[in-house]
Amino acid sequence: MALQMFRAMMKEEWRLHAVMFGGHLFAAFPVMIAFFAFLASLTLPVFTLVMPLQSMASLAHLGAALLGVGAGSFGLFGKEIMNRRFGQASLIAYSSRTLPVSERRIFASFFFKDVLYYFAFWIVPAIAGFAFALPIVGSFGLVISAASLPLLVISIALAFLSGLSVIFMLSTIYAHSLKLLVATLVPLAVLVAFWAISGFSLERTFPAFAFFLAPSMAMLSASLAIIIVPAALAFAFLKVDYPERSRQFRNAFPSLTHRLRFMREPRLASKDLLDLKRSEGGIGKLIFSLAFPAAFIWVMLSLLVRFMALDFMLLFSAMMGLLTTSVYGWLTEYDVFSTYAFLPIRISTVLRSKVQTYLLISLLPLVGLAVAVLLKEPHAFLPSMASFISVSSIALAATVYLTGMQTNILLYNPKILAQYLLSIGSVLVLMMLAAALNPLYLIGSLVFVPVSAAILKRAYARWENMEQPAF
Amino acid sequence: MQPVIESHGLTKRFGSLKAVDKLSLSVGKGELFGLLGPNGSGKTTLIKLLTGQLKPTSGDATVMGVDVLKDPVGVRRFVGVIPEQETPPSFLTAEEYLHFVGGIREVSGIGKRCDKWFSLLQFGGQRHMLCKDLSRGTRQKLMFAQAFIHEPRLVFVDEPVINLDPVVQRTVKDHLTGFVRGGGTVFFSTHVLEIAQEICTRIGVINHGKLIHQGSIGELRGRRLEDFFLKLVQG
Repeated sequence: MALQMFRAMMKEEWRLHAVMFGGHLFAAFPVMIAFFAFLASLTLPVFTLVMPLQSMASLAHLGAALLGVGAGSFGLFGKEIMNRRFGQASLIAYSSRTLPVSERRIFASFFFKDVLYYFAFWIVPAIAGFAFALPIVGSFGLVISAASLPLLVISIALAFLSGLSVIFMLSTIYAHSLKLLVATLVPLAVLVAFWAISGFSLERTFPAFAFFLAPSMAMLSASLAIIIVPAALAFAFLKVDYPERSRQFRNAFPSLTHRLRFMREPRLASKDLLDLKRSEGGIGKLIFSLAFPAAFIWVMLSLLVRFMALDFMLLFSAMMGLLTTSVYGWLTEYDVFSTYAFLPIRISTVLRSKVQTYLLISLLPLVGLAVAVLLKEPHAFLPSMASFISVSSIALAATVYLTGMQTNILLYNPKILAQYLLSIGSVLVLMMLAAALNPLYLIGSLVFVPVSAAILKRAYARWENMEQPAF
Repeated sequence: MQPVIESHGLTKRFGSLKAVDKLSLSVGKGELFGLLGPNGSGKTTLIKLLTGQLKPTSGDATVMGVDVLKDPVGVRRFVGVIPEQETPPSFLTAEEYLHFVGGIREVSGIGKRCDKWFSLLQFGGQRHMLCKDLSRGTRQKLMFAQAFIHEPRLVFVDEPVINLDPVVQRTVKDHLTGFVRGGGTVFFSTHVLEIAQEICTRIGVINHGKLIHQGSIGELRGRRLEDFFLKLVQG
């Protein structure tokens, strides 16, 4: 019975993605991950000039743990998104009310199915890509023994499962009570802060990574404990129904549309802002999705920039420009075109409105960035601002052109992701080359703004001529 | 009778599947036209074609004199549409959604219009609830209200009463017949043959994308629509 349910869920996951991506392109996803891991691994000889190999290995483990956190977080946000996209999504995971199977058994199958999928689609391909690059990086003098690969597979898997188990436990706590979650997170945050202040020693505090550095039964046990204890607690106190309360709101529409009357489509913009504010996580999720990666990029660039002939803020501004396009992803996350299909409105109008709302929201990171540049490297103010504006506009135009209203679905399509990365990557390389010659040349990158406007115009026409799926 | 919907050889293919096959149809002003057909026969696709939500593979159609292929948005401006699956945005309240639709349709006095529909369909108590938290029946009432909020002269209705309680079903049926008596036209797709027999003035039967019968309800001459329908689609 348990095996039957597990197999059904595996099939369901496959078909769900096959439907979303059209055909079996989903199967190419691990190939793409392997390819990008291969390309990234080729840069290792350069990066080892600025960072010890051990630090890079620690980042890989941290990345795997974050992937686990991301996979588990879908439990928090997923149902809301799925329901919006597929109506009342009827996945096997939600079937405990209609089938004589306990929620615990269903969730156990769901958990193991997710582990297997992430293992097969992310972890194994990433390490395979790395393995293929080893002979090439070896010829550049960076010798990494292939014998360490099985150990890497185990430790990365342990890191992934640690993240997944912890977030699984936190989501179970949340399902019981939001207050209880806050009460758990506060001491956890204090612990992390203490850990950060005391010097970020990942090899002493993260057992999965410590196991990679010095394999021992003690470290393996510690890693397994971090996985098993939270997961066991989560299963023991499992509650699938999150504290969904039927919320009521006074009519915010007239006042909001009045305040946004300077925009071309104030009604559409109001709807988008209300979607963001009232969906799970509120506006906080938007801030978190910008601030957390920005801090990570800041730390990474601080380590790398002293070995590069570029101002820190020039690079940071370009990265922030790229990161800010995630706002567009949030603006499309809770929306489907079938909401508008029977109304007298074109998809190009909806897309135009989302672009305008994006521009409005992106003023916040722009102002934050301007302050940071003025404080840190005031001489680089103009090229930094130009860098942010150019990268964010071209990344936005590419996103709208390639993904329309289905950004967070289509960016998982390997072909579309490759097109996106190639278009943005080539612009970034051009800009960095120009900046290396003279930072002021970056001001010239503003030429990408009218180019982006032209791409957006074509994007609107492209999506107008395409029949929209119902999700 | 002045035609408000006309189609000639309308065809829609999805890959190898012909969802609508060379369908020619004419619906006159003031008719309550019922489109009947089994599951997957092409009813919803036809409504989507006639309201410009889908582009036909071949053929043409005009709705209230507007060419659907040339000006799909223009068609949707004049008509009201109640889609088969209710899709109000999750995070707007019922009242906000009606304001949203009213805004897109540029109607004035939206507050009063909202009050009228909340009262008529008896869901004023849920006006401040998020659409995602509404029951299916209430969402269907909301979709019904949005289709009439701009007082159109032609309404396309895809399975309108399936989730409604008997009291509201009666209200909806009365409203539709009253709307037609007042000069409006309804294009109505349903599986529920009793309702079609009760309120439609004329019916069309669609099967495998083809319109296999058109005629007035009077032509049944006392026969049950169910028997007539089964004979048509099974024959």
